[in-house]
Amino acid sequence: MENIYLPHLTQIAAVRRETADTQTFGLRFADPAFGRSFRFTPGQFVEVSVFGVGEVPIGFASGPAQGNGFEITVKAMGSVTRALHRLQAGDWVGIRGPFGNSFPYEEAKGQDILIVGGGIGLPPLRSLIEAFLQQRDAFGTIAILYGARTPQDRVYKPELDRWRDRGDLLLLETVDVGDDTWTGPVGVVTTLFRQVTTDPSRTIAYTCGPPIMIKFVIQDLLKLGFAEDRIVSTLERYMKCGVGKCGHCAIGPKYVCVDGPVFTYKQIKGLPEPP
Amino acid sequence: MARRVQVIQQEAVPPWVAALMTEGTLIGPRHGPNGDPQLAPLQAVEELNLAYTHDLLPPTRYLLPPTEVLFRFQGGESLSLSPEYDERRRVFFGIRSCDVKGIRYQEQFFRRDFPDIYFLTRLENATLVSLACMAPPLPTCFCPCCDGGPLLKPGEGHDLQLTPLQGRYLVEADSEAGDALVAKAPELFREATAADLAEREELLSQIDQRFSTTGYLSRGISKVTNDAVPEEVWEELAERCIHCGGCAYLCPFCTCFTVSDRSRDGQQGERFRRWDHCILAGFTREASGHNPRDRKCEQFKRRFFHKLSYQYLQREGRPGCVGCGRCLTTCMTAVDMAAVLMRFRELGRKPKWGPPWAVKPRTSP
Amino acid sequence: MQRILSTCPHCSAGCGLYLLVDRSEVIGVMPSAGHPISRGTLCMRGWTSFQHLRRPERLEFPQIRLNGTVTRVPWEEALACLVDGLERVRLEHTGEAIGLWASGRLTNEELLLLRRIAAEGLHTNAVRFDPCLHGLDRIPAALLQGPNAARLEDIQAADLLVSLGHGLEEHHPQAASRLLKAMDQGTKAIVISPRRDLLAKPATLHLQGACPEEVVASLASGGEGSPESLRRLWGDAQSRLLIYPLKSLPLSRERRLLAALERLAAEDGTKVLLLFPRANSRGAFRQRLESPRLGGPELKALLVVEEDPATWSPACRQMLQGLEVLAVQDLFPTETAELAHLVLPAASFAEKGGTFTNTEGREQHLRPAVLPPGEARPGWVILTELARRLGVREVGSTLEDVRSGMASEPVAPAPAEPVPNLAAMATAGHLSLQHVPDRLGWMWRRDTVLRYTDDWQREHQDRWIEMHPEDAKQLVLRPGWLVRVTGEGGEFQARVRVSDRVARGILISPYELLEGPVQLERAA
Repeated sequence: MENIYLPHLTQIAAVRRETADTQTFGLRFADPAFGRSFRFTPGQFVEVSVFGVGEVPIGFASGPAQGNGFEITVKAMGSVTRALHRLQAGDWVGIRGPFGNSFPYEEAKGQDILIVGGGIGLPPLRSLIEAFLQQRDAFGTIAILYGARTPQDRVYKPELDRWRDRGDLLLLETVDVGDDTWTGPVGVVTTLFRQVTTDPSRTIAYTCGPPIMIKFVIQDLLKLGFAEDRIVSTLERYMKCGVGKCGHCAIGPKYVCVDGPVFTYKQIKGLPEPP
Repeated sequence: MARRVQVIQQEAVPPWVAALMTEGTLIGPRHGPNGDPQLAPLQAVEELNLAYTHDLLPPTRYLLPPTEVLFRFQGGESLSLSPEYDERRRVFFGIRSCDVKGIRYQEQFFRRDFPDIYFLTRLENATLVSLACMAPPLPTCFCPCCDGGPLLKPGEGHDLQLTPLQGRYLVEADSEAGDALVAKAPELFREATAADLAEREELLSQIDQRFSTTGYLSRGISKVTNDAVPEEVWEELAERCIHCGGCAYLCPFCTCFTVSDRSRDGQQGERFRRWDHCILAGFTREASGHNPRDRKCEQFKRRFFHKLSYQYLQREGRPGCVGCGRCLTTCMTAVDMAAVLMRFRELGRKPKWGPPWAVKPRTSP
Repeated sequence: MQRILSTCPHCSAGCGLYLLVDRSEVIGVMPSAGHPISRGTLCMRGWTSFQHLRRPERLEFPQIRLNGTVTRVPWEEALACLVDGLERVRLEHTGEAIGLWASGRLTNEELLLLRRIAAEGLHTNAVRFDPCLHGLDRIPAALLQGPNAARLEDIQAADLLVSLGHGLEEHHPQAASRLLKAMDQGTKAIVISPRRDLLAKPATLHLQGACPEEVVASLASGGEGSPESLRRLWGDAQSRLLIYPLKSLPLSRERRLLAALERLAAEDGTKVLLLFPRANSRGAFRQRLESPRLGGPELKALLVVEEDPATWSPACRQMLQGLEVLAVQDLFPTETAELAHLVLPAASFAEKGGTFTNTEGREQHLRPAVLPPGEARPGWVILTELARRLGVREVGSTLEDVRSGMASEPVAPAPAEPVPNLAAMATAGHLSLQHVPDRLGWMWRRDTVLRYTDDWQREHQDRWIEMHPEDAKQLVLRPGWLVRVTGEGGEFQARVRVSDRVARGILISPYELLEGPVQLERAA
C-alpha cells in the first residue's frame, strides 16, 4: 500500500522571480525513473513540503510534459510559502501528488476556448494553455484575457510576450493601475470582454484569480449567454492532507482536494456554503 | 454460511482472556480511577471487569490516535524520510456494537480514494470481540434510533460477538479470526442450546422498552436536509457552544485531523498529525487570514449538516452518529447531538431555554 | 496507550484528566468521567493541555546570558552561579533586595520550597506568590471555609443563583456549565455582567452595567437601593448562591465586594463560591507573604518562576532590565527569560508530581506521565537543590519529604494599598468609550503555556474588540477595521466587531488592563 502522506524528495532545479512576492520553481524528482513516470493534468495540484515548516497545496504551472520535472509558481503568503521563497536551486523539498481533478480538456476539443486570468490565477491556467498549445489544431479559437493589479504584478512576462507573438491565439492584457512603462489598457479584466467575440454555445470559459474578480467575470460571462456548465473555475480552501481525509477543505458534501479544485459554475452554485 | 453459536460460562471468561493475552495486547474492560470504565490494555487478567459499562474514550482512538508521527526527516548530507507504522497486535475484548460500527465506518472512510496506511495497518492487526448490550450501559445511550446497535448482525465487522445472558455469554464468530480466538481455549465453550437462543430472543424483545427509542435522529435528519431549521435556532444553539472540542474528539465517527511539522534545528524533525475539530474557528482559516466560516453560528451549523446530511449521508451512506452518547456526557453546555435533535423536534413549540423572561410579580397568597 | 490520571494545570476548577501516553509520548488527554469536577468534560484549555509538551521551543538546558552571549551550562554550574549571585546581593544590600515571583500554576510543594528559600535561605519577605492575586491579601475566612463557603456541586441545589462576573464561560467553564444547566432546569438566576453573554441570556434578571459590589452591598444591607425585581428574587429564595471570579474587578472594588459578601455569608441559606483564577491560586494564597515594597528601586535580584512579568507593562520591563541578578525558571523562552542572566529549564505539569489546591480547597495530584525534554527538571527538584545550597535545613530529596513540611500557617496582615482613581468619562461633545478590561482574559493571554498551545493560539489569532453598533457608527468605525485603542497607561490594536450584547458606551477586551476612557482611531 502506498503511503499517500509520504512526500517524494524533489530538488529545486531553477528559481525565477516573477514579481516582488511571487517566484516560479522548476522541480525535479530525486528518483529519475519516478520522475519520468509522473503524469499530471492541468488543474491538478501537488502538496509541497518544506520539511520542518509544513506543507502547502500548489497547482501545476507547467503543461504536461515528458521527462522528469514540472514547475510551480508560488506567492509568499504564510510560513511555508515564505520558507519556500528562501530556498534556492539545489535545495530539497517534498512533493506529494498529483491530487485533485482536472480542467476539462478532451471535452473542449473542437470548441473555442476563452481563458480569463487575474494576478496569481494565471499559473494553473498556464498549465492548461501549454496543454492546449501542445495540440493546437484540436481546438478552435483561443482567447486569453489577463489582468494584473499593476505592470509589476504580471507573472510570466516572457511567456505572455511569446503567446502574443504566436499568431494563432488572441492575448489581451490589462492592469488595474498603470505606470510610465505601461502602454496597454487600464481597467479590470472584464473590460477586455468587449474586445472579444465569442459564440457561447461553442466556447468553454476557464477563469482563475482573486474571488472578487471571479465573481464579476462569471457575471459577465452569464450576461454574454454562457451556460452555467460552460464556465469553469477553481475553488480554494485551507488544505492539509490533499487526499480527502483531514476534513479541512470540505464544502458541503464535496472535498476541494478530491472533487475539485476545478468546478463548473453550475457545480459551485449547487454548493450549500458560499465558496 | 451459518456460523456456530456457542456458549461460555461467565466464570470461564477470565481463563479464556488469559489465553488471549498471548495473542497481543488485550484491550479489555477494566475500571480505572474514579470508577471510570475503560477499555484499556490489561496488564493482568485480574483487571478484567465484566461489569463494565462504556468507556468515554472511543476504541477508534487506538486505531486513529489523538497524535501520531507520520514520518521523521533527517537532513544534512542527504535528506531522508522515515515513516513509522504501528503493527502491534491488538485484541479488543468487550468493544460495544456502536464502537464496532465506528471502526467499520472509519475503515470505509480511510480506504476510499487514497487509502490511509497508518489507520489501515493498525486495523489489519486488530481483532474485535464485541460485547452486545441488552440494556443501555449508560443513561446517555441512544443507539437503536441511530442504527448503532445494540447488537451486531453478521457481516457488520466484528470478529466475534458476545451476547450476555444469565450467567453466561452467547459467542458467535463472524470471521476466521474470531474462530481462532475460540480455538485458543476450546474446552471452555459448548454449543448453544435452544434454551440459550430462546433466552436471547426474550431479551431482544424487551430492548425497545429498555432503550429510549425516541426517534431522535430520523426527524432531526429530515429537518436538517430540508433546511427547515430557522437561522435563529442555529444562532441560539451556536451561542451556547464553548468550542471545547470534546464532541469531535470523543465521537467514534469523527476523523478530522491537522498536520504539522516540528523541528528544533530545521535539520531534523518530524511531521505529525493531531485530532482537529471543525467547530474551532481556525479550522478553515487560510494563510491570507480569510476565513470562509468565521462566525460561530456557521461553524456549529456546519458540523450538524456534515454529520446528519452532507458528508456522512450523501457520501458514506449513513448518518454520522451511532447514539453512543459520549457527546452528551462531554458537552458542557448541552448542545450535544441529542439536545440539538430534541431542539429540532420542538420547533414550533416553546423552547426549553429561551430569552430572559420578566420576573412576574408575586400574586397574593 | 496508557492513561495516567492527573489534574489540569489551567484554571482553578482542577478537572481530573487522563494523560494518554503511547511509546513514551503524551499523545492526548481525555477527561475522567467519574471525577467530581470534570465529570467527563473539559474546556478547550483542558483538551489542548498536552499540545505544548513537545514544542521545539521548550527550554532544555540551563543557560547563562552575559553581555549578549548565551551559554549552555551544566546544572551544577547554573545553580552555583545563581546561589553566588543571590548571596552577593544579600551581602551588598539586604535580604529585602531579593525577590521571588511565583506563578499560580506552581504546585503546593514548589510554593512551600520557595517560601522556605525566602525565609530560611535568603531571609527575605519579598516573596510574591501568584502575581495574579497581587494585592489580594485578605479574603474573609468564612468565604473559604465553613458552611457558607460553597463548592461547585452546590450550584445545583440552590434556588437562586447570582453570578457576579462576566465571561464565566471562558474563564471558569465548569462553573458556567453548572449555572447554565441549573438555569435550564428552571433555577432562577441573577447575572451582573456588562455584556449579554452566555449566562446573561437565559437569566431571570440581567443587570447589565450594574456594579457587582454595589448590588451585593445593597443586598447585604436589606436591599435598599436595589431594583424591586432584584429584592423580590432575593427575598423569595430559600437557598442562594453567589459566585464571584476573583481578580475580575480592580482591587478596591473587589475588596468592597468581598466585604459585602462576607456580610451576606453570615445569613442563613446564603452561600458564596469564590473562583480563584489559576490552577493553584488557592494553594498560593494559603502560602503567601506579601511585601508592599516589592518591585521598588531596592529590588536588586529576582527569581521568576513560570511567570512572564516583562509582558505586563513597560514599567515592569524596565524594572527587570535594571536588576543585578535576574533568574528565570520556565518551560519556554519568555520575554522575561530573554532579559534574564540565568535561565533554568523546568518540567511541565505532565512531567512532574505534586499537588494543586482547587478553588474549593480540594487537594489534587499531578502525576508524571513522561520525562521532561533534554535536561529540564521538575520545579520542585530544582528548588529542593537550590534550597539545600542556600542552607535550608532538612529539605529532603523526595516529594514526600517536601510535602511532610507543609502545614497551614497564619496569614500576615494586609498592608494598605492606594485606591486607583477611575477617571470620569470625558464630555467633550464626542463619544468616548470606557474600557472594561477582561482581567481574566488578560491573564490567559499572558499565560506562558497557552502561548505555546497550538490550537489555543490558532483560535486566538484574530484580535477582536466588541462594541455596540451605535457606538461604532458614532465613532465612524466599521466592522473588520483595525483600530488602535489608547488609554491611560497603554494601548493595543484589534479589529472591530459589533454586537448588541455589549452595552452602549463600553468596550470590553482582554488585551490590556486599561481602565477608564479610551480613544479609538483607525490604524493603518
